[in-house]
Amino acid sequence: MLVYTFDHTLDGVLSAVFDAYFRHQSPDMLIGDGDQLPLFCDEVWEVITTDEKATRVWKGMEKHMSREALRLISISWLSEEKELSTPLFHYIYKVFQQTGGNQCSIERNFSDPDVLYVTNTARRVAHEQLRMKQFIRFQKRQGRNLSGCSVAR
Amino acid sequence: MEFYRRNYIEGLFLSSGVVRNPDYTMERLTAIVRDLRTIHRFNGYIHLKAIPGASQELLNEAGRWADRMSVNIEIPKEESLKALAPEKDHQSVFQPMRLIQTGVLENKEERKKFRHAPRFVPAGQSTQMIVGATGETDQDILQMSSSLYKQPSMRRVYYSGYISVNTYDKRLPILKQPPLVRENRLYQADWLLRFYHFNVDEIVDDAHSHLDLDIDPKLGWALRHPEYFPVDINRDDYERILRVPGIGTKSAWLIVNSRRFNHITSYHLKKMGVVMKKAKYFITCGELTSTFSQPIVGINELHPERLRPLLASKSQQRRAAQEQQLTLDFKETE
Repeated sequence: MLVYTFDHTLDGVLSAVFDAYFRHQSPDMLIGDGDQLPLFCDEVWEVITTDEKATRVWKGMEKHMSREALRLISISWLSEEKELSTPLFHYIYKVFQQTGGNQCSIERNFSDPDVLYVTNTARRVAHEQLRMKQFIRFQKRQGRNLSGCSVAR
Repeated sequence: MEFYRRNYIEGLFLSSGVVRNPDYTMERLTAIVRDLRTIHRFNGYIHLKAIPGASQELLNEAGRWADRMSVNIEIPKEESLKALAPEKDHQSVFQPMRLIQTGVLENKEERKKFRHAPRFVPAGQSTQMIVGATGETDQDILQMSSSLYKQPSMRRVYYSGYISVNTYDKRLPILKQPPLVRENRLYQADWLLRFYHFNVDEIVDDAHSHLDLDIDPKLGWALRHPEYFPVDINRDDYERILRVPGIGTKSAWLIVNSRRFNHITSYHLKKMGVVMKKAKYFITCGELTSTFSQPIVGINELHPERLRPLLASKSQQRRAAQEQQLTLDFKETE
């Protein structure tokens, strides 16, 4: 099993996609640097995050996907979930794999587990953001209900 | 205003009982809204309850400042309204509604031509009905809702359960608690009208003029029309998939979008958030059997009467079991 390790940033994920295509490899998992490696991994490759790789991948994605899908990807990253890295990696990998003749990009293919997982995570982050806004209006301070910090509206 | 400045609230709701006469009350309400907007610079959402019977100029004036206006139709049927409050009538409610509607539509036209035309009630209008105070059937209520929704500017109809406050008035029923389940079912039926493209005659008709309290309206319709099913997930269009109990708008949208890429199986459906417990009887995915769907037991093999208790909730199942069980009365012999 082939495993890539990255540095827990979104740029790291994008650089990992770049590396995968550069080395003509198809890794099974994407793990953060300090995390536990899975049981049966044969090869581990460490991804060096560079700005140039990340921007090239992102520009490529802009050509293949709609703005909404790009936004969903960025939002899903805000969830800070460890388990997100592998599905997200596979999702972006598949974006570049799809053939040019397809009229619909893979972002709409919800039967694909990676696309579904990333989209659901983004949806949950959006709900959490709403809840947060509603919640921090009322903060108990010194026993009285006052509004919290000044939220930019 | 203090709350607004401290970021507690984003909007407010302005309503009043009739003082002296409708126009006087409306004038005072309009003055309040205008002051809020101009003097206190309240930029949040204002929902204004218009008084039935108010004049057109006052409505126009109020509409310039408010975001949404409502005129409440409290009782769906004219006769019941007359019995409870003889001085009110439906015309005094529908007239302001029509005026607001024409105002909204005219304003939309104007704003297309002139970018900076002032807005008139941008959030449309809504209304409210009281459930359980008089003897209307759900059919009357829903038919009134359906005809209201046909108007372009009507956004929502609210249903409010009747809470009995006084016991001396003989015309009003004395209820221990407000009809919450009925209100819930009405809201579910309202959703069906708006988002699921149902016609009001399909949900309630003369034979079934009340909504079922045990099961939700969509499942009720599905049990009454087994000839419509099974719905083929991979072939049928969006409208037909929406009708399956257990599939909502989000799941239907996901299904229709994913169909281009893959054959959809019940495993995918489960991941997409379809309630397989309900839906499995009504759909077919083109597979023989799987862990998520039983070997082909559709609604046409298992008759609706036998299907219904399977889909009822636990408490209802317990109640049904209790009714069937005969109880023996052991009395002390003297």
